[in-house]
Amino acid sequence: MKTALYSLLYNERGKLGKTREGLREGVLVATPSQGAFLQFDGRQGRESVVADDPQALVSAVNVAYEADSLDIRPYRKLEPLAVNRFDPGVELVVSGVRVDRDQVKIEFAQPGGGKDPITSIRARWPLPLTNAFTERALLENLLRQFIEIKQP
Amino acid sequence: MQRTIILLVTFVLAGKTLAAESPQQAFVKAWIGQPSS
Repeated sequence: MKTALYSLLYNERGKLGKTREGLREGVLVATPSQGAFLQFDGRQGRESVVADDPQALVSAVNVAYEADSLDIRPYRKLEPLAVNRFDPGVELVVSGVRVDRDQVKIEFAQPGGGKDPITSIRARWPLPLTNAFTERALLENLLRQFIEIKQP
Repeated sequence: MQRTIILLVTFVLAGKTLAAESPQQAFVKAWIGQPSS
């Protein structure tokens, strides 16, 4: 890592009332023109939450997922617990890569610690990515501002 | 005879499509498993 990466730790209560605890999701989003920010994608009918710093993200997620008495399921569906910070210099392994409509997501796992991602970074393009993926070099340059690929 | 040739051409084209790696797949392949620091 050249800069810190962040993951939000949270508990989520599903439609059947079953709670999944200790879930973790990478929240850092890098853009070519708007800098970097933290985003927790919306779920269970809530909007995505965007913030500039980890503490603000936790607070905003807390507010966004407050229990709604008008809801059929009037309980809190998601409880943010903390933000994990992965400091510059920490070594991780790319465990997953996804190319979406307007972004690429690189997921990281602990070296030798299985494939479960512990954090991620998203490089978001302002337009939908082309089929020929001509944006690849620019996206890779953007990613390399945050992470450094170690040469074997 | 004509039917056989048409079928063969179809199979060859399908094989080529399956074999070709998309730019997105190439990107995924290049990044996955890489150590970063």
